[in-house]
Amino acid sequence: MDNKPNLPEEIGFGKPALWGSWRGSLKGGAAWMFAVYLTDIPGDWLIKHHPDWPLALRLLIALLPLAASLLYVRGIAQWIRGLDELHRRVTLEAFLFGTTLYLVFNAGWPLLVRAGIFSAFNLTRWHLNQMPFFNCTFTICLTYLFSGLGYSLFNRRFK
Amino acid sequence: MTSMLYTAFIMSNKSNLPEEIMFGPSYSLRANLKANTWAFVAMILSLAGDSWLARHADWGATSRSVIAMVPLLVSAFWVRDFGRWMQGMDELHRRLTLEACLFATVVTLFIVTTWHVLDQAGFFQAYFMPARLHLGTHFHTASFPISLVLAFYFLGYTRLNHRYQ
Repeated sequence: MDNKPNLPEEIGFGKPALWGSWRGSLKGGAAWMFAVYLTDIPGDWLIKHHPDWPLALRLLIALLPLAASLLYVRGIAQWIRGLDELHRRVTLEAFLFGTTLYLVFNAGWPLLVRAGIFSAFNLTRWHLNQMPFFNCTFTICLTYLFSGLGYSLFNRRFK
Repeated sequence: MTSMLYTAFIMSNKSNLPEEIMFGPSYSLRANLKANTWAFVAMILSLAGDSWLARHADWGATSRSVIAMVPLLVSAFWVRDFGRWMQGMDELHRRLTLEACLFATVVTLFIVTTWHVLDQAGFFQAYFMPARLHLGTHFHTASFPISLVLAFYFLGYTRLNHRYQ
C-alpha cells in the first residue's frame, strides 16, 4: 500500500518546478542514459582515430553504447509500467510522438543533404549537413526533447 | 427524442479493431486503406524520388529538395490517418496499439542506429556480402523505415495481444 506510483515529473517531463530528485530519475533509466553518453562519444573518437585496431575490438567499442541504450529503453519501459493509468497513457503518447518525430528527421535530413539544400543555401558553415542523426547520444537527447514537448502538448488535454 | 437518436447513432458506430489491418479472418481492405493508404503512397513516392534524384544530379537544389521532402510530407498524412483510426478504437485496443506503435518506432530507430554504427566500425567493409548488396543505401529512402515500422508494429501487436488472451 505504501508503493507510490511513478510520476512523469521524475524524469523531467512537465513543469520544471515539479521535477523530481536524482533518485526518481534513476528509476527511469537515467543511469543507463549517462552510460550511453560516456561510452558513445569517446568510443566514436577511438574508432575514428584508430582505424588500425582489430575489427573485434572496434566492434566491441561500437556496440557498447547500443547495449547501454537497450538497457535505458528497458529502464524506461519498467518505469512506465509503474505510472498510474492516466499518466501512462499520456507518457506513452509523448514517447510515441518523440520517436516518430525523430524518425522523420532521421529519414528526412539525409535526403535534404543528398538534394543539396544545405550547400545551395550556404548552411554548411553551421555544419547542418553533418548532423549526427545516427549517433546514440544525439538520438537519445533529441528523442527525449521531443518526448518532453509531446508530454507538454498532450498533458494540456487533461487540465 | 434527440437524446434517443444520439444514443442510437452512437450504438450503431462500431469501434475499430486492430486486427482489421492484419492479415487474418478479421482483415478488412477498407480499414487498411483508411489507416495505411498514405504509407503506401509515401513508399512509392520515396522509391520514385530516390531514383529521380540519382538520375538528375544537375537539377536545382529547390526542385531536388521538393522531390526529397514530398514522401516525408505524405508520411505526416499517414501518421494523421493512423492516429484517427486509433481514436476510433475502444480503450484496451487503443492502449495495445499505442504500445505496439511505440515498440515499432523504437526498434526501427535501434536498427537504423545499429546499422550505421556497424558501418562506421568497418563491419561491412570486412564482410563483402552485405556491402555488395548495398543494404546501407536503403536507409536513405523513406520507404525502408516505413516498412520496418509496419513490420514491427504487426510483430509488437501480436506479442502484446497474447497477454490478454
